Amino acid sequence: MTTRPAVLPRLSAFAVSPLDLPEDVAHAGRRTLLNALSLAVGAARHPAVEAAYEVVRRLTRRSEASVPVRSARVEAEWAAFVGGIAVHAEDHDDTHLTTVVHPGAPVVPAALAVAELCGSSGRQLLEAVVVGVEVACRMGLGLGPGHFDRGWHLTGSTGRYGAAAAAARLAGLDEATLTGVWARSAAETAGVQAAFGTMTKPYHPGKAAHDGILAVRDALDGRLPAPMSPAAETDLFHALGPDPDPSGAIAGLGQQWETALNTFKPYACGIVSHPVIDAAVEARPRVAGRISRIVVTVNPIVLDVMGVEEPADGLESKFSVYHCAAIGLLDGAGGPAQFSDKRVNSPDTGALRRKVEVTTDPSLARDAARLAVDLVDGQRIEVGVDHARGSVERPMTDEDLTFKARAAMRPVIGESADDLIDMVYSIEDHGARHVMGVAAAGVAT
Amino acid sequence: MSGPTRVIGRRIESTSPDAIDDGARVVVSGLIHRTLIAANRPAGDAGSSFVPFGVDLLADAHELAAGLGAEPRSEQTEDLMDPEELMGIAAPVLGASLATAARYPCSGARLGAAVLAGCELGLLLGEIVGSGGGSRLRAAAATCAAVSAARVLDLRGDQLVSAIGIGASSSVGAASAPDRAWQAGKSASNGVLAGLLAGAGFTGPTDAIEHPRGLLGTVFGVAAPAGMVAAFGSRIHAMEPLVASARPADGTRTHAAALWQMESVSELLTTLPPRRRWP
Repeated sequence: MTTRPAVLPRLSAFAVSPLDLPEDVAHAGRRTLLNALSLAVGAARHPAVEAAYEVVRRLTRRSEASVPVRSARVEAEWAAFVGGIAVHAEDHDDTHLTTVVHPGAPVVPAALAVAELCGSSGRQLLEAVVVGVEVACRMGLGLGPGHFDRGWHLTGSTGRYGAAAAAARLAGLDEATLTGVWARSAAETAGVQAAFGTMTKPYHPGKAAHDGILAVRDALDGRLPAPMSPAAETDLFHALGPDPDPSGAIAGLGQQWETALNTFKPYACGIVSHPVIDAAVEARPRVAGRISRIVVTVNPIVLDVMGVEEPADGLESKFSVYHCAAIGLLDGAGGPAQFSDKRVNSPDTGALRRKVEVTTDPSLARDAARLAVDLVDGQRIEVGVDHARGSVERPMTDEDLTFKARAAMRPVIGESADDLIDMVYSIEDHGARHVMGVAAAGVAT
Repeated sequence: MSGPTRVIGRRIESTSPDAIDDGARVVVSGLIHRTLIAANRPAGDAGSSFVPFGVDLLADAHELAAGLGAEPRSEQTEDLMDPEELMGIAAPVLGASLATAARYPCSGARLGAAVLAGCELGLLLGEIVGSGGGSRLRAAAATCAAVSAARVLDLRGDQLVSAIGIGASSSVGAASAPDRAWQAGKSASNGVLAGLLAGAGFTGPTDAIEHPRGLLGTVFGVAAPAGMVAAFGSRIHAMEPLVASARPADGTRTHAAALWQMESVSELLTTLPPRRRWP
C-alpha cells in the first residue's frame, strides 16, 4: 500500500481558494509586504542589484512590470528577479525562525510583479503575499531541519514554491494546475549555503521568484508536465533531507498561520547572530575603550553559518559573529552601514574582532546569547539575551518597522517613502499598479 | 591557498584555444556539428509561434539544449561518445555555448574552448559523483553550462569562478527527475544567465564545488576528494577514438581545423532556423 501525505494537492487547494484572513494575519501580511518593498526600494543602487539589472536590460523584450526606482518596465519574471535580489541584498529582511526561510524576498517581488501585470487589487495582492509566505514556510516545515543542515538555503529551495503560489493565485490558476507548477518548482530546487557572503545568496530568492512566475506562464500556455505522482512527491521530500515530515507542511493549514510568525530583522546580517548584537549594544556603555577580551556563547548553529573570523568585505561580514560582536560594541548599531566594506576594513573594527572568542552551548536557543567582556582593569561585564530583538517573543513593533522602512527608502525616494508606507498599511484601498507606480518613481534609467 | 573551484577557473582562463590538442578539437567539433544538425532539423510548421534565432538569448540556449536532450539515445551517441553521462552535460553546455556565441562576438577556437571547458568539468564531476546514469549528473549541468557561457564571453578567471558559483546555485533536477529535454534546456539557460551575471560583476562563492554545503556536498551528498583537479582538462582527449571510430578520421580533423580557424562564428550561428516561441 502506498502511503501518501498528499501535501502538494492540499497546499495547492489552500493557495487558490477564497481566504477569510483573520485581521492579525492580514496585518502580518501587510508588515511582510512593507518590509520587503521598502528594502527593495532602499537597495535599488546596491551593486548586486545594479549588476542584475544590467543583465536584465540586455534580456528584456516586453514591458509588463516595474522594478523599484527604475523607469523602465520589464517582463514580470525579470522584475521579480531584480526585486528578489534587492530585498535580500542587505540580509536585512525577514525570517521565519522555525525554518530559517526568508519568505518576503521570493514571495513579495513575485506577487508585486504579477499583481501589476494583472492589474490586481490591493486585497488580491495581500492575499497572494500571505498565501506565498504560508506555502514557502510550510514547505520548509515539511522538509524538516535536515534540509537546512544538508546545506540548502531555504529561501531559494522552498521560497520558489511560495513565489509560484502567489503568482498562480493572482493569475487565476486552479488547484490541479498549481500542483503541476510545483512539479517544476521541485525540479528546480536550488540554492546552496556555500553562496552565503556573496551576491549569489540574494540571487536565490530572485531566481526563485523568476522561476515561479515562469512556471505559471508555462501553465497558462499548457506546457507543464503532469503533476507529481504520490510516489514522486514522497521521493521529493526524502531526496532533500534526512528527516522530512511532510504532514508538518499541512498541519493546521488555514487555522495556524506561519505568516503571523514571520519576524523582521532589526540588523542587516544573519539572523542567528542578532542576540549577540543585542548583548553587545547593551554592554557598550559599560565597556567602551577598555576591552581586553570578549567571550560570546551561542547555539552551535551560529558558528555553522556565521563563523567567518576575518571577513574580507561587507558581504562576508554579514556571516561573521565576530564582526557582529565588534560592531555592536563599537557602534551600538547593526544597520547596513555596519556591514559596509569600509566599516569591515576599518582598523578599530579589525582590532576588536580579533579579541572575540566564540563558544557554543546546545542548550541555548537560536535567538539567545551570552556575552562576557573582560576589561583591562580585570573587571568582567556579562550580558545575557534570552530572545533577540525582532524574534517572535520580542517582535518589531509597527513603529519599529515604520522607522526601518523609512530609513531604507528616504535616501532613495525622499518624501515618497511616507506615501508608500501609508499605502501598504492600507493596501486594500490601493491597486497594485498604483503601489508600484510610487515604488518605481525616482531615478530614471 | 587556492581550492579546486579557483584552480578550475584559473586553468580555464589560462588555457589558450590554440594550445588545445587535436584529439580534443576533434571531439569538440563533433559535438558542435551534432548540435547544428539537430538545430537545423525541421521542428514543425513555422508560423506565429516561431521566432528567429538570436532574438532571445536564454530561449535560444534552452531550445538548442532541449533539442539535443530530447533526441533518442541512439542518435545522441551515434557519432558522439559514451559514457552516457556526458550527453546529459553536453546538451546544456552546447546550448549555452552556441546561443551565447550567436549573440556576442566569438571566434571558432574560443567556442571550441568553451565547449571543452564545460564538458571537462562535467566529466570531472561525473567521476566524483559516480555513475548511476546521466540523470544524477545532470543536476550539475547548469554549472557546466555556466563555465561554457563564461568562456564564450571571455571572462576573467575570477569571473569564471563566480559563474561556477552562480551555476552551482542554479541546479536543475536535484530533487526530482523532470523530462530530459526540459531539464537540458533549463540548465542551459541557467548557465547563460550565470555567465552574464558574472560578467556584469555579480559575485559567487569561490569554493562552490568543494564546499561541504556546495555543489558536491549539498546537491550530490558527496565530499570533494583530495587532488580532484589534477587531471582537469585531459579527459575529452581520451574520447577521440570513440569519435574517430564513427566517422572518417580525415573528415573530423578537417572539420575541427575549420572551426579553429574561424574568426567569428556569430554570423554563422544566427542563420540557424527559427525556434519555437519560449515561453
